[in-house]
Amino acid sequence: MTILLMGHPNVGKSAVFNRLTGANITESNYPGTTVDFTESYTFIGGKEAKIIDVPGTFSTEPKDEAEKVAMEILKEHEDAIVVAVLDATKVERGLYLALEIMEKNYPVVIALNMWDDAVKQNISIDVDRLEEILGVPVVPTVAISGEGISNLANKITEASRIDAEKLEKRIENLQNEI
Amino acid sequence: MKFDTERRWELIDKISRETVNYGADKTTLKTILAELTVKPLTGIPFAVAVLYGFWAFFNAFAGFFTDGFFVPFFDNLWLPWLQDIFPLEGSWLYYVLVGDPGATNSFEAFGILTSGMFVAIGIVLPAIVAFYLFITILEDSGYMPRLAVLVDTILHKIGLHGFAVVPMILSLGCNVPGVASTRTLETKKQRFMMMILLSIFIPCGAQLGVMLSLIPEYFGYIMLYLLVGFFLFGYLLDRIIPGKSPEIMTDVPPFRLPTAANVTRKLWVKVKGFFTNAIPFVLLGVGVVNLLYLGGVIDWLSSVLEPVFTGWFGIPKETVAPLIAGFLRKDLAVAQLSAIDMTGFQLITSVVIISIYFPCIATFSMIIKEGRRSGGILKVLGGSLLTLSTVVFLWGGLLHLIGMVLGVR
Amino acid sequence: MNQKTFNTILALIGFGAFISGVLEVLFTLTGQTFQWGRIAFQGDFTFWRGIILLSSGILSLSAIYNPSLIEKRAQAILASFMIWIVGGLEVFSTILESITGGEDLWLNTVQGFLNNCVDSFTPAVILLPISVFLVLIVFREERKNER
Repeated sequence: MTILLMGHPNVGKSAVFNRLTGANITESNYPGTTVDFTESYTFIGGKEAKIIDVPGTFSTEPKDEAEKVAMEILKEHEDAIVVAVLDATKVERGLYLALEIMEKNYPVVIALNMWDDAVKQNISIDVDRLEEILGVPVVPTVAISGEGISNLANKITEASRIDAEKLEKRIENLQNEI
Repeated sequence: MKFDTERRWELIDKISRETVNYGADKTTLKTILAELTVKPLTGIPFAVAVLYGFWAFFNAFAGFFTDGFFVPFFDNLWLPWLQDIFPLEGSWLYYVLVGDPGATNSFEAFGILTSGMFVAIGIVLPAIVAFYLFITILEDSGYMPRLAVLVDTILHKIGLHGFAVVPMILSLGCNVPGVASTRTLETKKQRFMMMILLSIFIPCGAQLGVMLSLIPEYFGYIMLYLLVGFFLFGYLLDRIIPGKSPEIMTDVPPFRLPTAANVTRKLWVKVKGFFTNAIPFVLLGVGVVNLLYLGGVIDWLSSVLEPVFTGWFGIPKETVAPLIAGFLRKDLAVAQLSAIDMTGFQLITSVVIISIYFPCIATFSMIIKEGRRSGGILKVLGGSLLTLSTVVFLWGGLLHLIGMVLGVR
Repeated sequence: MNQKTFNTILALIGFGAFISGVLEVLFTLTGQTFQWGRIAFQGDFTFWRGIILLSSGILSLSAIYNPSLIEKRAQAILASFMIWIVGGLEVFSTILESITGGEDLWLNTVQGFLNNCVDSFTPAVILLPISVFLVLIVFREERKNER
């Protein structure tokens, strides 16, 4: 099993990586510090899993070398599970990338990282509803302190592929309900 | 199936309206403080305070270990002990390992076990611990990118555009990750430009530390001259090299309180890296220079290069040996320079030349590695060497000229 | 805390920082040192220290009158942080310097340590406790408002 950690620069991918694997890679409050990928092993659901910390990327259409590296990794691991790490204070930006990855038919789990910041900024996110709409597991995390990480690890096995057409319909129906 | 960009945003908009609720937009003290640090009027005085803080912290911390403990240890115990027990005085082995048998301090003995160990452990180690501790706290608190934005704003005001400030600031720690981080730049031209400028003009943390420890009185002048060179040659390269250099945007993260665990982890990674990568190179540097002395290579090189050194750059020919050591470690080279007998202005000039004449071996191999991605290795290598030699001769020679015009020695 | 007390503290820090900053810059430029009791205007980098204190003073003083505005409070905090850096690091370096015992001693004696610590200090050290107090108060009130 291969797990890719993907997300925008500086959303805490490296911190999630350290928490999941017990590795010691540098975390910085600083965009663009991970320009190469790091991999490590851990046990998820009793099975050994390879985890790769992919350099930060804004979309799946690469604009610079670091993003190119990210896309190469994604293409090389067709059978990987992707953990899309989102900044909970900027959900929309992160969802764009997550959606792109789902469209490429990868099984996805969403980590709403920096949850504590969102709470402080009065942003509330209906996690259950988000899970229901997207059809993939959504887990709030605070990677720096480790909150939500074991939950995230458990949910990785529940990651599922999404039919984009059905997803679109679900989203359209939402509007009708209101 | 795949959506197009517009459709994707539409869908996300609908999802977010259903699930995300942005509470009343609070302007918190934190966000306003964050703004104040990037506005020039309030940001510059604060940045001055932070830089002063860096200097004061560095001095106190590195001075505590170097002057308080390591200097007395190496000078009063280690050196006399080695000179006492080491056999074979007069042999080449003694010369390489212990150095001058009559030396009274570890600094001027020039052996691997004396000067090499003293420079590596006594001077550079406290310096890099102090340096990285401060940098890590700045990084984790989120002040670093703000400093980058502030510098960027100021550069724009004086008409300099397209400089990647984040790689610049990273390079101050070590040029290697600085060069690697140019990968986040969009065009080949920008990558090449920043790579070469960083590796020529930005001294790394270890070199900064040694300069602050050994020649603090000249530190300001050296940095000023290097930074002016950075921007001047950046401006020129931008004109000369074909291609585009688009604006660089930095994402500014929120302020956070650094956690002790992460700070110590990062510091530990750096210190471990220092022991495994840097110390062997420092010792090797001392060893290589000593062997070259014994083989007469340095004396020969000195006399061959003397016209260039004294005539063009105005520095004594003895600086050849530190220049050779500088290929391996610049911090070692600066330490060796400060032990050579010369005038203040000559010292400034030679430290500037040490900084710009060639990147250290680790940085150079990173440039080669990155060059493959940025327009072909031959092009990058050729371009760098051409820029490098032009810069060394022009910028080094100019400093000599400035010295002559001002009449300083 | 009422507005009046807040303004008084701000004025105290502001004037204190401004005047010591101006003096430090002046003494550096004229090449003099000056000692008043245990307060000394001396040391390294006095010029830059003076500039920092001076601008911190201006920031504090211009936050007076309207501390109910969050922008002004933030300004006062930034000004205080600048004093923390200058004063705090002086305390830090004095302590470290007093621990080492010079040429012949690895560690200083307790008496020597204490003597060295209270020998003399710059104005920033005196302003330090007041600015810590100010920042604590502002943050406490802020937390109250958040609830």
